[in-house]
Amino acid sequence: MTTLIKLYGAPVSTCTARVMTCLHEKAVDFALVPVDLFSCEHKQPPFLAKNPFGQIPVLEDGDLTLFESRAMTAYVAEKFKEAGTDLIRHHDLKEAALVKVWIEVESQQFHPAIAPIVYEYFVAPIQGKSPDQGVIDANLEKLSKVLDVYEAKLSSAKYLAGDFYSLADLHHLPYTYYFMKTPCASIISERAHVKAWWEDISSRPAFKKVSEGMNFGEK
Amino acid sequence: MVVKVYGSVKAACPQRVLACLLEKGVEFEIVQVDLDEGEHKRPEFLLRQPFGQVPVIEDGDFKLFESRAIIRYYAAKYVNQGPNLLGNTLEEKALVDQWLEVEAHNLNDLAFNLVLQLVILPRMGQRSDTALVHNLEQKLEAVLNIYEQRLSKSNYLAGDSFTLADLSHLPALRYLMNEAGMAHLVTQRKHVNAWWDKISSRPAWKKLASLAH
Repeated sequence: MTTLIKLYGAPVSTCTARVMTCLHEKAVDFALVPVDLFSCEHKQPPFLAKNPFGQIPVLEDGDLTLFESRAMTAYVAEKFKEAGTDLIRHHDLKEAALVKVWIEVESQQFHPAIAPIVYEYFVAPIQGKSPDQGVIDANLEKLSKVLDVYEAKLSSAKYLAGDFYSLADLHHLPYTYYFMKTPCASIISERAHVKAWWEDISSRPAFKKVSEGMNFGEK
Repeated sequence: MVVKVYGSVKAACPQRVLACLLEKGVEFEIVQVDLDEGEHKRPEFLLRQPFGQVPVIEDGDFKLFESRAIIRYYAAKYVNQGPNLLGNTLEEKALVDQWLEVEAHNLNDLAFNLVLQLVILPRMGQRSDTALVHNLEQKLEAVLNIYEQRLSKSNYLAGDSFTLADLSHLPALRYLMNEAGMAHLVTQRKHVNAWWDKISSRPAWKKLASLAH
């Protein structure tokens, strides 16, 4: 008997959304166990026993407990590789490697530039601070350079790792979704191929289900 | 066919790849990229790696960049040669991935910025920011406390065997402990220290250290 996967997190959270989108793409049933961020549940001992870094999400599958959203998506995509969308190209070692390259690019180049911008517009206000324009400007400059590379790449292939949707594209969804609600969205929409790619990946049913819950900061 | 690794044997990210290739007994050739001269930011190099960073590998016609993608590829390609760096079961592989992510997202930036402040800026004749160094050190202490806890229950990060998760830490920790003078971060933690001794005395790493330093 297979156990039901439990995902500890919050629907508004980018990293939780990353994992939920993957689970939906693979048509895998799971239970979302809410973690109360506002009461800092994720920083307290019962939760720290699951993730000592005090971050959401955490995935439980039977005896296995995982933290780090990108390790979770890799696990789900591998475990359920014969079901749903092929996110990892497991039949072809080289295609699989190219997916990994662009997973790393999201992780090492894209994320560090976009995350601080999303933070300034969405999280800082909740802490009573105004968005720090210096931080926003510095990271916009970095993100623009990264997006120039993406624009060139996406002019020769439909998706980042090739002409197939993969985990590499999926990982970009949550932060970009929030970013598009900020005044900085134009750096995506002014790049024709990046814009087309964004419209394509963000309209996939698996993500649409998840983005309905991504209403952080909205009244 | 010999794998070409574009980079410098002294640079942390190429070292991550070279350590993996040495562990797996895969022959390679280092193609020097002169980072001090900015070779990696020039148009010819940007054709190889559009973000202007090392390493890049060329394996016949097949090219890859991002060191953590490269090590995953070679650990999979040569899974039956040399030590298994990936884990056996799906669950073991997931734990390897988890700790690779921890290295990338919870430790790397802190270590990199400490080395930048303590080693690279002074070399360039610039002053380092003492308050920032203190802040980074405190954060890194908190992260290493979690490692201490983990390694008190497990011989290696992902379980009982050395894997990519441990390997990925070698270059940055070596820089932190040597040139950056932060060895106490490791040596003051019993289990982290024992783990460091084990992973840094592996023949593959010793060979690389002798090539590099």
